[in-house]
Amino acid sequence: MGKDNSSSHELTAIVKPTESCNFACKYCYVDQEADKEKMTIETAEKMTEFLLNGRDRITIIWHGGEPLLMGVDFYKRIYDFQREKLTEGKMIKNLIQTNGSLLNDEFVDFFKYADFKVGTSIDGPKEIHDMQRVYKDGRGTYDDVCRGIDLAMSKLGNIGTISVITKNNIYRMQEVYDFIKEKKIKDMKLNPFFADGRGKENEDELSINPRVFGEECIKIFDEWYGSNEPFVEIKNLQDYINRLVSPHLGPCIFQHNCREKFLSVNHKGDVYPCGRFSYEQEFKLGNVYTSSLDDVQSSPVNDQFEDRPEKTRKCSKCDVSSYCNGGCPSSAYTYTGKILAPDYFCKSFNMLFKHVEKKIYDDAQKSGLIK
Amino acid sequence: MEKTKYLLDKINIDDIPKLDNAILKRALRRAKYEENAHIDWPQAHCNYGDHSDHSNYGDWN
Repeated sequence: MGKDNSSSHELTAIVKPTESCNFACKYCYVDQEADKEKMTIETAEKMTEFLLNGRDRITIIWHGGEPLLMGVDFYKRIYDFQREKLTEGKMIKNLIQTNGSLLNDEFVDFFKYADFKVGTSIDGPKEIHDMQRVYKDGRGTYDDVCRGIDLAMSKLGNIGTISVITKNNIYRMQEVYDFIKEKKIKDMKLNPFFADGRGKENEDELSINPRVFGEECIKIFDEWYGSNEPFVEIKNLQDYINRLVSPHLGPCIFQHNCREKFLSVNHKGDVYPCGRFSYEQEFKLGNVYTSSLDDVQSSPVNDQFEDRPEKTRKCSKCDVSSYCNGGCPSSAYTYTGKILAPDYFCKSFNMLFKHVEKKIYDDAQKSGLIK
Repeated sequence: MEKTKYLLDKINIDDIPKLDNAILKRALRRAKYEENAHIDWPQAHCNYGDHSDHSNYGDWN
């Protein structure tokens, strides 16, 4: 399907077909009392129509909970339904974010056939990973995750990974980076711990200081950027370069108004502004059975996100906020109970933007691109 | 920080191949491509190995 010049017809839906999980990771933002129900195929079909009736280019991120607990037949059926419903000018891209332990030949072969992009989570070498990504009985999950990752890599060529940075590995980020590179994974993220859900219960054990996270990220940035190796991408650090290069690039957390392009749907068909808000009833925007996409996007619930960087006092005075736009509203809400507050990791954003800006301008000057 | 000034706006895009740093070169090529196509905002809480999506940006080196 050809490209067009419009971005207004695009939307990413973070879909949580189940909140259940076979893991009990210490930092999970889903809490212990998560709803164990699963999305029915009828709700998944209704959601597909809801999305396609509102936008032309849809990206669905199958998230959770653990989305593979839905079984491969669920994805085969909804993929077939998507194909039936795609009319001229419409497009759906499917991505799935899994813990990796349930990946098997049937899943991976289907993902290859249906062009589902796969992301997994691994927090570094076994010793680090097994401290925080555990089964409900406390056993480490490393061996099962690596088996799944190796299988997916062998059949799909590349996958993405997220490594969560906590007190356990904040001073060992170099080991995490080296480990992911050794696994021949080209696409990694080093995401900081958020104290939400079960993570809130383990905050003392896991919490990291935003300034320290900034300092440690700068060390990794210098190593990676200085290596001049473009085939390994640390996405959350590449994001700083991208944002400084062009207003059109950068992740959701640095956009002026992420609501334009994102929403989340849970197993009941309830719609929220983002997956990270989907456990807060006050942010519910509607339901795929009773609302249209226009209804949910014009919901008064969304008004409180409007012009957030300008309305947040600290951001309005900051020389970095034109790039970070105050960061993620969910991070602000998690730590302060307010949307109109800066991201908890504001300090690290500030440090990284200033550091990265200097690096890229120095390089552009040395190569004669700017005077 | 230079408020709302983006590197892409300050350079001649024909000069991008002169850059020594391949990581910055890739970012500028993507930016040049994205200006003429759709805007893709990655979701911060997922990572799905989408290198293949960027293969049409051409040679990263």
